[in-house]
Order: sequence, then C-alpha cells, then structure tokens
Amino acid sequence: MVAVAEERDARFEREPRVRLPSTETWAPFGSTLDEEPDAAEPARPATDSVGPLDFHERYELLGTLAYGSMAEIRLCKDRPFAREVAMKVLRNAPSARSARWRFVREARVQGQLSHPAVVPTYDLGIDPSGDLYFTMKWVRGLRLDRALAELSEGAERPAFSERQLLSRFSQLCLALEYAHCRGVVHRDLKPSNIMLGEFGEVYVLDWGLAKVLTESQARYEPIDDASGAMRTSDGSVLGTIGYMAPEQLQGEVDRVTTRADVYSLGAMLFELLAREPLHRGSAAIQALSSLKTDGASPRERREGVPEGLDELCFAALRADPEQRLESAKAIADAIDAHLSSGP
Amino acid sequence: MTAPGFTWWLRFGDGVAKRITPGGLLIGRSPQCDVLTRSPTSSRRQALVYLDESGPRIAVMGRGTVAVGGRAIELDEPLEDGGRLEVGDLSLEVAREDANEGAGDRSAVWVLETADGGLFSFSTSPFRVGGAADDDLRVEPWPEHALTFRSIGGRLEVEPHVEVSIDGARVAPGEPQRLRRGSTLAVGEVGVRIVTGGELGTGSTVALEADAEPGARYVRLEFLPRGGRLHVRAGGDEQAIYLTDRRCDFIAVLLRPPPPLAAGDFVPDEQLWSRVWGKQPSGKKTLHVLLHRLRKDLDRVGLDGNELLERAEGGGATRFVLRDGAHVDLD
Repeated sequence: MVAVAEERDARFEREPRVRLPSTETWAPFGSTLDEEPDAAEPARPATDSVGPLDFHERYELLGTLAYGSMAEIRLCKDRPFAREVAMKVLRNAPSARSARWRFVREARVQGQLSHPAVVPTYDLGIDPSGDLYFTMKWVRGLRLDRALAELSEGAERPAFSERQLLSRFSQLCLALEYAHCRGVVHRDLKPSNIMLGEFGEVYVLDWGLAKVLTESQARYEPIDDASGAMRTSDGSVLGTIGYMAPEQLQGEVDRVTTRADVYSLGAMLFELLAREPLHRGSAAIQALSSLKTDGASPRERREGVPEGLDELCFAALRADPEQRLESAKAIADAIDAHLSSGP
Repeated sequence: MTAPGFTWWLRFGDGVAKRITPGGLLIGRSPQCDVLTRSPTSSRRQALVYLDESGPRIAVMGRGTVAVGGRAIELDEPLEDGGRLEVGDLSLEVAREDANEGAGDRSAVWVLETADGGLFSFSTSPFRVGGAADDDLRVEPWPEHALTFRSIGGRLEVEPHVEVSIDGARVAPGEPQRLRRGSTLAVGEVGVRIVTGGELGTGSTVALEADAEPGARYVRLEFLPRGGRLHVRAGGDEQAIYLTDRRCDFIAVLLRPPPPLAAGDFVPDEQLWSRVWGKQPSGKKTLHVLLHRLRKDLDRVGLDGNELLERAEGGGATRFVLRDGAHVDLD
C-alpha cells in the first residue's frame, strides 16, 4: 500500500491550488514566537509562548488516501507547518507485537534513509485511539505500474517514453544502491511501490518489509535498527510473488541479501523492456515460474530490445544469488551507458 | 475465511473506516473499546460488530439503545451492506468491498519438489500424491493414494495413508501432521519436499511468517457482557474472534481448568460437561459439535483449529495446545 493520490484523467495530480494559511490558532511545537508578525500573514495566537500540541490540535484529517488490510493512509493537515502530509496508521492489529514492531521499524528505516528517492518521515506516535501512526511527505505522481501499463497498451501519448522510463529506472537503482550501502534490503520492490513525479522525482515506497543487515554488512553509516530481539525466522516468505527472488520465495531468510532487490529490479526492467510481466498467470503458475527461471531474456518476448539491456536483465535474474549481478549500481551504470550511446 | 470475496467495513462520517473482523469491533464508552462513543446513555461496552460465516452481525452488550436502519434491536442481528447503525452519538455505515480489489488472488498455493528435481504446484485441497493413475500427482514407486495434503487457513497438513518419514521422524498412517515450508516427506526411499507455499496473492505483498512449533504462544480471553473475545497468537500475528456464551465458557475451562490441572492440560469431558453445561448430563455428541464449531471459528481467522484444540488419544479429554512459556490471560 502506498501514499498515493492520482488524478486519473490528468494522470498527474497537480499541485493543490494555493491556499492561504489557516487563520485558526496554530503554533510550532514548544517554541517561542518572537518574530514580529508579517503584515501579510494572518494573525498569530495572542500568546507568544506555547507548549506541545496534542494530536487533534496538530493534525486535521482531510480524507483517506488508501486502505490496506493492516494499515491505511490518511491525508492530514499538519497545522503548525500549514502543510498536507500522509499519515500511515496501523489498524486491526492493535496488540499484534510483530505487526507493531514492523510498523515502527518501517518508520525508523524510512526516517533514517536520507535520500531524495525515500519519502521523508516527520512524526511517529500513537493517536488517541491507541493506533500507531507515522506521518510523511505526501507524494504525488504516477505509479510505475500505471506508466508500464500505458506503454504496454500502446497509449498514443504515454506519460513516459521507454527512454524516459529507463532514465528514471537508473535513478531508482541508485536509490536502492544507497539503501544497500546502509545495510537495508527493501524486499518488496515492484512497480506499484515506485512513484514517478512530474518533475523528475522517483520515490521508492513502502519499506514495511525491509530487512536491516548487520552493521558489518553495511558499507556506509549502518541503520540504527534497535530491534535485534525480533528477526524474520527461516521459512518466512515476505514480498510479492512475481517480483521476489527465488530465495525469498523459498523462505531462505539468510540468503536474502541486497541481491534479492537486484532480482526485483531485474524483474521490473524486464517488464519495461518486454512490455509484459516476467512471470504471468495465477499465483500457482507464477510461483513455479519464479522457481524454474534462471535468467530471462526480454528479447524472447519482444523484438527490438537492445542486446546490452537484454543481457543486463538476464544477469539480474539469475536464480542463484551468487551468480546474479552484484549490485543495483551495476544496473544503473549499464542503463546509463546504453542511454548515452543511443539517440 | 468468512464471506469469501468480500471485506466488510464500518464507515464513519469523517471518511475513516474500520474493518470488521471475526474478532469484532467493540463500541462503547470504555477506552478499551475499538470505537469510542461519548454518549452518556451508552454503556461502557455497548455493542460488538463482528463477522461470522454469513457476514457481519451486531450483538448488543449494554443497556443503551442500538438501532439498525432506525429500528432498535435487542440481542444479535445480521447487518447488510449500506445499513446504518446508530450507537449512542455515533452514526455508522456498514459497507462491503470486493476483497480481491487490488489484492489479487489470495488462495493458498503450495509447491512440491520431487526427488528428480521436478517442481509441481497445487492450489486444490485435498491434493493426493501416490503411485496411482488417479492421484493428483503421481510418484511412481509410492503406493496408491499414499499422502493426502490439505490446505487449512493458509497452512499445509498431510494425512498419510502409509508410513511416512517427515523431516526424519516416522509418522504412522492416519495421523495428520502439520507441515512447514522446507519439510521433506519420504515414503520408502523416495521423497518430496515442500519448496514453498501459503496464501501467495498475485500483485499484493505477502508476509508469511514461519511457524516452527505447534500451539499458541499467547492467548487472552476477554470476557464481554455476552460471550467473549478470544485473542490468539500462534505462528503469525495475533488473531481475534468473538465467541458466543457457551463457546466462550468452553475455552475458559480449557484455559483455567479446575486444579490440579493447568492451562494446556487435557481436561476430562466430565469436567467440561459440568462447567459448560451445568449439572445436566450432556452426551458426547453435544461436546463434539461444540468442539467442531470452535475449530471452525479458529480456522476462519487463519488459525488451525485442529491443532489448537486437541482431543486426547482415544477421546475423553480436550486441551488447548500451548507452547512452552505461552502467556495465558483471562480478564
């Protein structure tokens, strides 16, 4: 599930019309308002010293953006900042320890990954109903699955050409390379978890299944996980069928490394080039296909796929992680080389 | 699962909705309720909206007024899509959604690997494996209909009809066994392995936790003015289900049996009869029917009813299966 707002006709949601700041009482947390009010701004509270706001004072619910089985995304107004934010709320699992742990860790991991492609988080807490929530930037744009559908359906004027998508895909790979350097494996990369903005942004959404590697496995500022007490046990299957690597599908938790994300990137690149998903059919057929496929060539599904990209896909989709392409950056480099050599 | 193909929601006027689950949404003034009302005329626990096999229902728990479609109700009634529910100062709408919308196909899928490296998937249950031509998967040297696999609540169970070795342990014919991803089953010298499986939806994220040991790790029975809510955590996340009076009493006796028995011990049928049905003698059939329904209740929320509610070998006693160090709470 993602914090998504899409306008179907215009495809991209436009920036909301300019709104004047609310004239209702507002105040930043625990601060002292000591500047002179700007004449153009609305009146500020009479008091110049304010304490922390409670939940309802700070957030105003504007609507619901998405529902999931465990969590929902709400659109809220963050009053002190006069901005709209997405609020992810864990529901229907008020006392499920593992669900709450995963939720908090998602917020922490997302909050510590400081990269333009990772949606920044603002606040983590418990609302008055006792539900866990965290707030994050409300991102708008077109999901990659929709962009791919436009291409495969042969839309007359797709939002993104193949070349534009390849360029964004390279950015996506570099964002993953950054996460991998910090010892984080996303584990649920798929087109519906990638958002493309209208102004060149690429966002990787939904870090709820992320795996944090040990500090020694991180190459740069390891994430502070503070959750060593709980780890995924062997035999657990986490991810999305059709995009998860064979070792993920088999629940071989210790074999799931950054190369599992490389596989998922390979599956998405395959879909971009072949104009159809790598694994198709029912869940049973996709499961079998995922386990039986050792490297895959988009050229076998669609003519005209450049040889270099075809080989790149094949290398990223090897079944054995040891034989698989080693990094997300290697995919980015190969795509960049292709784009710089072509028309 | 309940009412296949649909999910049910309680919608509030402000755009928020809460999903109705078999554990139910408790509405009232108590801060422990899932939906709070500030109406002074409502009870601390006024009503429970829950899901059973046929769809959502509302059970009135307190003395305040509960109305459905403008009509006051007293005990327990079914709810319909679009129905308007009024509890205290709350006005809520019951809404049905297509469960498959954006969620993909959520049926359970299992993949078997044979000794020669062949991979086979199945999503039908039961699924028979053996040496006969009419077995769903033929394994040449095996006797006919050697193993029957059943997918229950996203978990896999096998009923052997011949002696089988499961992960090296011998299992006699007729003893159903719970399987894990990675389990190997051998009949004679020839084996198959469970490569993967579970409720693998297409297009949607799955998080299937491994379950190494049978039994519950955590059980809480929350008594309500009518019946109670059973919260159980076995392999995955906590699940909750609303139990009507007698089912609730039955579980309560298993979780707090008369001394010297303790939670998790087998409780003799006589004890269950006297505590659940009173002094009036009750035949074995009545107990079996109740046990069957309770197991179904647990299956509906993705737990394994057969595993959690175990009959003693040869009958005569029942227990709630708990793991070592399990936390049990009755409140």
